[in-house]
Amino acid sequence: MSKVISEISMSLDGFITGPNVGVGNGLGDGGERLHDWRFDAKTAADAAIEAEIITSTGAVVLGKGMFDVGFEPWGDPPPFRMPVFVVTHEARPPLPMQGGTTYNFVTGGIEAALELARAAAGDKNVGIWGGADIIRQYLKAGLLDEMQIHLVPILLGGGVRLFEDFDAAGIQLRRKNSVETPSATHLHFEVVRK
Amino acid sequence: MGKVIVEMSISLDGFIARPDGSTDEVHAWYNQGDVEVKMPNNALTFKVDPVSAEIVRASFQLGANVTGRRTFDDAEAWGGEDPMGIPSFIVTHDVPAEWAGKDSPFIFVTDGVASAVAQAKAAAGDKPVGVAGADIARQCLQLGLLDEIQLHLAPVLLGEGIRLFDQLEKTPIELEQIRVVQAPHVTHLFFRVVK
Repeated sequence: MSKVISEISMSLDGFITGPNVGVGNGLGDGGERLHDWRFDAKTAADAAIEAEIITSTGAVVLGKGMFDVGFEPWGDPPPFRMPVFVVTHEARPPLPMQGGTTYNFVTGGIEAALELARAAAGDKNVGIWGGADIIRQYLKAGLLDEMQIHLVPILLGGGVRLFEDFDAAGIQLRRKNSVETPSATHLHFEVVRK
Repeated sequence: MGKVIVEMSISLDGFIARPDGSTDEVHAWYNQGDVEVKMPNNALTFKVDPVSAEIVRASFQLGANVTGRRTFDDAEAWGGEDPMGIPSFIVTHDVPAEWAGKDSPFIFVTDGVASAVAQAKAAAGDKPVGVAGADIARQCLQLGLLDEIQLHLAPVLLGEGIRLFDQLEKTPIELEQIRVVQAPHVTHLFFRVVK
C-alpha cells in the first residue's frame, strides 16, 4: 500500500529556510546550507537516503508558495521527474516539463491534491515535499503516514519554521529510524494512528 | 579545563517545556524503561532503557552546574540541594532571601552568565560544567561560552511552549555532530559548537 510521507530539511533550531525567502531567494539567506547533504557535503550514506526517497516516490505534492519560489531554480528538466501536484487557489492548466515532470495545479484543497497524487503514484508513495504550511495541514488532517526530517547541524536563527502556530493535540509520533551522516541526521517518524 | 554543556530534553517542534513550565511529555523517556538510574545526591530514580542508562549516568559526571533563576524556581530549589551534589551556581538578578546566607547550598551570581560560568569552571576543575535553562543556555551560546549541546529528542509535538532556540543572533551558528543514539522512546543527539 502506498504511503504519504513528508520530506523536509531542517536546521536544529527548526527552520526549513533562512530569513528573507522570496522569488529569487527560494531558500532564504543561507538556506542552501540545509541542502548541503544533497550536494557539496553528500556522503554515500546521504546519497542512499536520497536515492531511496526518489525510487519509492511516485508523485509529489507541494504548496503554491514553495512552487512560486522553486519554479525558476528547479529549471527544466525539474529534478522531480514525476507528476507534481501544487495545492493552489488559482486554477491553471497542467504544465508539462522535460524529463517526466508535469506541474498540475489543484484548486480543490489538500484532499483533492492527495487523491490525484495517489492515483498518479500507483503503488509508489506520495511525497509531501513542502512548504511548512502544507506539511502541517496534511499532518493536522491525519493524512500523513510518515515524516522524514533531514536535521542539519546548524542554527539559522530565522526563516520559515516547520512547526509554528500548530495545534499538536492528538498527534503522536514514533521514530522509525535515524541515520547519522557527517552532514545530517535523517530522522524518520511514523505518525501513530490512535 | 572542563567543557560547558547544555543537556536538555526537547520536543520535535523545539520546545523544552509547555508554557506553564511542565515537562511531562519531553521527560517521559526518563521513566519508560527497566534500568534504574539514581541521581547522585537526590531521591530521584529514573527507569530507562539500557542504552539511555549509559547516557544518563554519563550526564551526571559534571563538576558544577550553572542554572538560570527560572529553572531554579520551577524546580523549587530541588528541595534545597543541587540534584547532583556538586557546586551549584544560580544566575539571578536578585538573591532569594530564603536561600541567601553563608551556609547556602547555592551560589547566587548576580553579575551575569559569563561570571557564573567562569566561577563554575573554576569549581569544576577538569570536569564539565552543566548549563540549565533555555535562557541561560542561549546566553552562553551567544557569548561563545557553550561547547556542547546534548538533546534528548522526544517523539512528541507540543504545539507551544518554551523554545530552546529562539531569538538567536549572530547566526548562522555551525555545529558538528558528535553522535546520535537511538533509544526506544527518545533519540539522543550530541553536538559540538563550532568556534
